[in-house]
Amino acid sequence: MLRGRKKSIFADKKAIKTYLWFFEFCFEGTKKESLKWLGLAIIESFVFVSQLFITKALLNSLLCFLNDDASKEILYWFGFFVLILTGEFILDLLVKKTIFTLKKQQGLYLKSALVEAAKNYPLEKFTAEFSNNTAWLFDNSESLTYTTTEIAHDGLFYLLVFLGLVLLWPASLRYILFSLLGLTVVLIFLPVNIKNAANKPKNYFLKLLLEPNQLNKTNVKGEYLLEKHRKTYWQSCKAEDIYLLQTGFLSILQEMIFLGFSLSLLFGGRSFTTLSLGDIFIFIKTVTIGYNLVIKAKANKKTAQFSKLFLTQLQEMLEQAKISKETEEGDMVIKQISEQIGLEVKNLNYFYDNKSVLNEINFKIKPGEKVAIIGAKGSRKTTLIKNLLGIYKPQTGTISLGGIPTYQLTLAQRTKYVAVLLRPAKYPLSIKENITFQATPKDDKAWELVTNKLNPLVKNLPEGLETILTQNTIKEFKLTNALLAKLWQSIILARLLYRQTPIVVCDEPQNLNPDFWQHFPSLFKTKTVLWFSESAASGLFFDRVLLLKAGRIVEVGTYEKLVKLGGEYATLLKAQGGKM
Amino acid sequence: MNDLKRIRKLPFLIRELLQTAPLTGVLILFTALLKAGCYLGLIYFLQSFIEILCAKDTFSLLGIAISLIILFFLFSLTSLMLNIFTKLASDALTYKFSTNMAKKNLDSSSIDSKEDLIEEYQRRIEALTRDITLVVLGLQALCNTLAIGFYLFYLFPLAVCILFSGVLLNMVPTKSKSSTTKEQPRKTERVNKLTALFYSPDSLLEIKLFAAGDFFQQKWYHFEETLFKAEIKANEEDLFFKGQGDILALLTYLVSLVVMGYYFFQDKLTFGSIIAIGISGRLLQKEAIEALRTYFYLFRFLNMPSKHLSES
Repeated sequence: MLRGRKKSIFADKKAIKTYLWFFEFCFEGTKKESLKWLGLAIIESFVFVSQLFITKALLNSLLCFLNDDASKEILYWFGFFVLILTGEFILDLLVKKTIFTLKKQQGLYLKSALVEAAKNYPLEKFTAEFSNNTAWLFDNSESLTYTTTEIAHDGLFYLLVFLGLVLLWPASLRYILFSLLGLTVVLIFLPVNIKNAANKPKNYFLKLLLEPNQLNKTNVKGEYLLEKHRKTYWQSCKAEDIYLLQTGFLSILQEMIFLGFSLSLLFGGRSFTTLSLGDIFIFIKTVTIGYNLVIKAKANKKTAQFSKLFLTQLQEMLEQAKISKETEEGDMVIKQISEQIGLEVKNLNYFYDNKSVLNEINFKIKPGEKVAIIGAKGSRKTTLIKNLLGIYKPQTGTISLGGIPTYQLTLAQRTKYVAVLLRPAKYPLSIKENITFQATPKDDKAWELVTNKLNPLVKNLPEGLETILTQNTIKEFKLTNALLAKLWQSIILARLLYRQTPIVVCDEPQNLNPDFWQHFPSLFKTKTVLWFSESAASGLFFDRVLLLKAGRIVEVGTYEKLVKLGGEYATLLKAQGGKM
Repeated sequence: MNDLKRIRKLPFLIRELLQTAPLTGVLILFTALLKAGCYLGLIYFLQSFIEILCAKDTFSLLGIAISLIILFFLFSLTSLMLNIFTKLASDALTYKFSTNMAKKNLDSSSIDSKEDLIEEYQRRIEALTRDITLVVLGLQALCNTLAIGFYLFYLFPLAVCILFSGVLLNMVPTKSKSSTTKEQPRKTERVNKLTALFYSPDSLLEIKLFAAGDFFQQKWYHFEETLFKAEIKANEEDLFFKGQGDILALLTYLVSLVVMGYYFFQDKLTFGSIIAIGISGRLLQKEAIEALRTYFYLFRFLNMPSKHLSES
């Protein structure tokens, strides 16, 4: 568990560059509020030093009083003490307000940059790990940006307090230096890094347990899952406990060394007998400042080490997204596409990690033709869709839309000719916005077509197509599960219809309502349809069926022909309990 | 008053904790009391330290200093143990509630349609960790308040009365929940859902395929900015009310200092007692206010779906 000494983050030049870049990035976004906070550091340090010396004077005058040296000084100092306490209180409120606003502003600035970057970032680079890191950056945007400004603020504060103390009470220099020496002892001689053995966070357990897809199994499998994750959960908890204990004991050890170091000064110093009560008060405060500095330095060092990877990703994201955006904009000017389009796939091969994923795929779809590509789970349907849409670039072979390879098409060109339904999401927006992805529908004709189909479903909702389907709306208007499912399905299909594109590519949604197939011919009358499905029975509604198996097209023909053939398609249909 | 009514939900959490992990619950209470004892010991030895310092007795001072170091060590140790026990308790409760929820879902045939409901429960179970931590923090603050309170009462009863009146006065300037605060959780949830679109490869893919990036970006910014403004406003209101309360508490503290000064000049209080009361008086106020605020904050948000979470 205990590992040896690690390379200091200060020796990592690349990391230092990243931190400096991030500091500049944060400061640029919230210059005004950051400067205000830095300005407050000056006032804070002034008030702090004043409070130290006023308290010292008050304590010393109290001691004089004890020695029967009656003096009115004590009253003056008490008055100053009350004043400085009030001043400190007001300043504290101001600091709290400034910090909160700064945190929020910086968080908003970083999140805006992240949204812009994610929007333009190449999808093929958006792996699961990359996605988790981006989620982390979103969640921790406020604390990350705040830490960078906090370091600048604290640095200024401690520097000014140090100067104030040395100028007003030169003897304090000794204590400060001694405290700093203690700090160095703690930081240099105990830099043991403890490895956190909890690899899988506990939330993983929650996600697995409550994830509908995981639980949508038989009870036997479910019980097995529970048992399996129970072990993972408690192992993770145990590892976290050990980590907490180890780091906790190490912190206590560091604190004790620091405390012992500081107190030895008090008893070992020759001048102890000459120190007044006020001097000792300042000594304690100085040591406290030193200790706080240790704690903050440790916390910031930990944050810096931990966030290094994320900051590097952020920097890369912002730069890459900028390049992608420029390329996309550049392409839009150059390329033009003809209105006469057909989809053709020739000798398509796609490899992943040197393994063949798609193998010699060939097919041609005529305008207006409706083709179903049927394949069981793992048959590489999604990879084929992503190749067809130009998200993945095929290693060999071509996919062309109107004679132009799809990966060469810009996003705008692609969306003009192809509407795609692939793992559709339910957005927390109004029904209208869920369909159009526009604040106001721009295509009146298409919108009329869509509303005619949807109006009967939404007639009972008070705001009609403007309704936002949240949990509250569902409760309030007592929407049944069946109605809700039907509504969402209609919304998702309306997304396709509203686009008015000549080609439709669709990955069949789960639990498709049987009513849908009755309306299918009228809905997609003139369109070229490429329908991906796991259900072999769906092939019945299409002009042609292509059976995909392990990345290869194994059978091609009409539904009737393939059923008669009695080959793999017929076997799949039978296995799924479909009609023969 | 509404906050006080919510405190009635405290037994639910304590009952669940004691049923699920009784030993951990008892250990939490024991460690909290021990920590409060260490706190008290630190104040007592500080008082003795000052008294001896006035007498310039270096030898005794060394003994006191060593005692202070030992107490400080014990204090840090109890803090660490309390953290560990709190974590154990939250682990046990999270496991129990998650398993119960999962079992309920396993028995149900229509999982897909309950996706939103499950998400909500998941969020609540995750919030449990926060609630348990808050309960322990509140319990700790309460133990500290009682320990310091009893000691101060022994030293100077009048000071305790004045300081506690400050705690009560601190609670007077409360605000009724404004519409901005009421709407906040819903707004936050909506923003979180929209934000999630930008880090999920699936939703990013759909956004790209529909060329809807600009639309979602504008929507996200609109909601995020609205939430940002609401949070700034709520924070300002909160600081204003808290500030008023804190001024009243500070005033009573200053009054107690004046009263102590009077008794000191009358030779009815020692110098060490004055320092001890001066330091621990403010601590007492802070701890008591902390305990009350923690419980008020906790029960403002605690709305456990006990029926669904606890049934096994």
